[in-house]
Amino acid sequence: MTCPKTLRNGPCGGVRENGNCEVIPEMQCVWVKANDRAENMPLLPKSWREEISHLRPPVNNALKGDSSWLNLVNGKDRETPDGWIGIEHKEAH
Amino acid sequence: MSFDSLVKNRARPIVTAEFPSINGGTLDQVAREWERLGPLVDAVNVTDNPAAHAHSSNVSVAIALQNLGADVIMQVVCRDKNRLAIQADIVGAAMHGVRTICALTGDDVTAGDEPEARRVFDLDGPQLISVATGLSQGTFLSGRKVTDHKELLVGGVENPFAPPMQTRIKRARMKVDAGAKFLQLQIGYQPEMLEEFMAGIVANGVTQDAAIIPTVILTKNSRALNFMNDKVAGIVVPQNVIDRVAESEDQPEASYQLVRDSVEHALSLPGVAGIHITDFRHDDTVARLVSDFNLGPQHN
Ligand code: SF4
Repeated sequence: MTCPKTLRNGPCGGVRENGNCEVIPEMQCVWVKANDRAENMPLLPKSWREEISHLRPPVNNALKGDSSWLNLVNGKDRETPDGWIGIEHKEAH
Repeated sequence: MSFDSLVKNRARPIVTAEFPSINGGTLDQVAREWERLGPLVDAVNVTDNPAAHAHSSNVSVAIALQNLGADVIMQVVCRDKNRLAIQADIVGAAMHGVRTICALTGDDVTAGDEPEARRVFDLDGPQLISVATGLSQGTFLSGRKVTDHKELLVGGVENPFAPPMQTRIKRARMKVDAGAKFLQLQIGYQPEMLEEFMAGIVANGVTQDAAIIPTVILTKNSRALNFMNDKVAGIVVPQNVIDRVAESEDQPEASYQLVRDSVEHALSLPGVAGIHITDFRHDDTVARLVSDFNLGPQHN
């Protein structure tokens, strides 16, 4: 299952007390799950573990229906809109 | 002093309030609500289809309030519009003088009265903060320039009462890094969670870079608390809190004392810059609260 709100920077504020999803109460929030996993894998490179708390750019909807594997290989998914500033306008912390 | 100045200089605790949703009608209704609430607070939040119910749009009410001389915080949610529509709303409202934006992901459509609606979420809350910051700097997401752009004050929301705590603390950092200058917190009834969250964001520097404003909700009885506990996503009201009001002979007064204690506690925490009020009582309690704590333009 994926996040019903298709968020790229979850978890949203609707996560339930038990860590389940706002929209589908019987499912664990996928972002809570992803965070748990990252934190429970101490052997994961630090940069990967930190990646989970980085701001991800908006989804490229033009790629909808393309093979996500191909997009990953040719780097298309990493291209961002020209005006996307992410967090660049601030010194990194 | 303007909300913008207070966010930046924190000269005194800030008080903001949720402006009631407007269901069509005429501008008179906006004016009436404004006359009641406006003099008491530093700024009002105009909501954007709260709890996934359609109302007069955020842009229309924000402009109406701006024309009445209000300091307006225009909320923008990601649920109902794609990135084009959201950017158009923000620069369009700015054209009318609305310069403060509060970006939220938004409740899901299933929280509302039209659960069969298509959910959009083309952007999410943190991305929207970054996009609004881009507009403030004069660039649409495409890279095209905004003509004669005006600087915006961009903020967001975080929920310290939804798990996991460490993620909430990191998410607050992410939103501030994306450009948020203030964060209004969602309502919660577990003071120890607010304490833990605040300690975390003091430690990671968020409170230096952004004004943090917890929320209180003015209610009249235990029924309202039960409703929030049962029906509203992300809100837990512990049984002892409900009992405190339910077992009182004067429920409206007990409800007020509950809020009073929350405000006192919140304002005592390092890094808290003010209070946001949501009023479900519609009596004179907002006035009583700001007077008890010497908040807002009338007491400063
Ligand atoms: S609770 Fe988690 S999975 Fe559910 S909508 Fe929110 S972020 Fe997505």
